[in-house]
Amino acid sequence: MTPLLSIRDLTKQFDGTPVLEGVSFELAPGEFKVIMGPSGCGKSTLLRCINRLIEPTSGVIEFNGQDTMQATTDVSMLRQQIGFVFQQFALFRHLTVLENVSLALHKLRGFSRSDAKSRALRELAKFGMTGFADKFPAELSGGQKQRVAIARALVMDPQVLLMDEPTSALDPVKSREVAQLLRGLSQEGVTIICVTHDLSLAESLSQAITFIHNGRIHAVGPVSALAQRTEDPVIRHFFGTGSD
Amino acid sequence: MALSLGLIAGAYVTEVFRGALDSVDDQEVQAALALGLKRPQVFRSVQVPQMLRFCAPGVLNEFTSILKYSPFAYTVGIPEITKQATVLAGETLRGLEIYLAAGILYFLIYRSLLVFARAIERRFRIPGVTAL
Repeated sequence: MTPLLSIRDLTKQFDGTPVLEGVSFELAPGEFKVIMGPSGCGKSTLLRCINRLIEPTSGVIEFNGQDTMQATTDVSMLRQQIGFVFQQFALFRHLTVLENVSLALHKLRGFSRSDAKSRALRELAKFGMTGFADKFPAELSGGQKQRVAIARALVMDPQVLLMDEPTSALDPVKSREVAQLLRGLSQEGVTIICVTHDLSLAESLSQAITFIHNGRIHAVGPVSALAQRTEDPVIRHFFGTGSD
Repeated sequence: MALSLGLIAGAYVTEVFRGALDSVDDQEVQAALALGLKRPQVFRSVQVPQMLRFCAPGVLNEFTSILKYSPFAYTVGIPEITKQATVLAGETLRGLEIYLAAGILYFLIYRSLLVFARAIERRFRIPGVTAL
C-alpha cells in the first residue's frame, strides 16, 4: 500500500543547533501513529515540519506521493489536507465557537457564511458542542476547547490529522474524554499522528509508539515492550523503569 | 500646532498599534496558517480584529490627551477654548463665570469621549479577553 506520508532523513537545525536528525518513517492510510519522547526532543518540531509551519533544513517529505518541499508546492493546499491541533488549542479568541470552525470553510473553500456555519454545526454535533456554538473560547473549559479545536481541524476533511500533545493542558478527567474521542476517530479510519509524553495515553491509543530522543528516532514498538528494555538508559530514564 | 500635535500623537498611537499587534497570540496566527489561510488572510481575519479591540482604549486615551494639550495652543496665538475664555474674561471682567463655563465645556467634551469609548469597548468586548 502506498504510504500517505513518507518522511526520509528529515533534519532541522535552529542556528546550527540540531533539533531533528535523520528522522525517517512512513504513515499508512488509517494508521494511528503515536510519537513519544521527553520534552525538547523535537516531537513538536517534527509535526510542524510536516505541514511546513517550520521549514526543514533538509530531508524529503512526500504526501500522497508528492514531494512537499518543492518551491512550487502550494503550501496552503497542503495545510488544508493536513489538519493540526495545537497543544494549547489556539482557538481564535475574538470568534465564537461556530465562527472558529467555519472560518476556513468560508475563506478557503468558497462556502457562503451560512453554508459554512451549517457545515460547521454538523461537525460540532459530532463532538456534542452545538450548544456552545455562540460561546467564545474564554467561556469554555479545557476539554471543550480541545473538542472545538479538533472539530475546526476535521471540518476541512483533512487526510491526516496532526495532534500536538492533545491532553497536556487538560486534567485527568478531560484527558480521558479526549483519549476516548481520539480512539473513536481512529476507529472511523482517520489517519492521525499524535505527539504525547503521556504514557497511559500512548498505550491506550496505539499498538506501537515511535520514541524520539535528541531529535532521532530511538526506538519503535509497543509501550510494554519498550518499558522492558531496562538495558537502554534512555528508555529506562524516560519510562522510570529499572535503576540508574 | 496641528502638525505638532499630530506628530506627537502619531508616535504614541503607532506604539499603541504595535503593542496591540504584538498582543495577538502567535499560536492563533500559527493555527490560522495551519488551516491553510494565507498571510494576508491571517492578518485580516485574525490579527486586525483583535488588534483593533486591543488598541481602542489606547487610541481613545491619546485622543483625550490631545484635547488636554490643545489649550497650550493659546501660548502661540492660536484661538481655542482657553484663549477665547481669557479674551472674554478680560473684556467682561467676569472671569469666574467665564472660566467656569470653559471648565464645564471641557468636562462635557471629555465626558462625551469617555461615554463613547465605553460604548466602543462594550460593543467589541470579547468575553474573557478584553477587560471591562
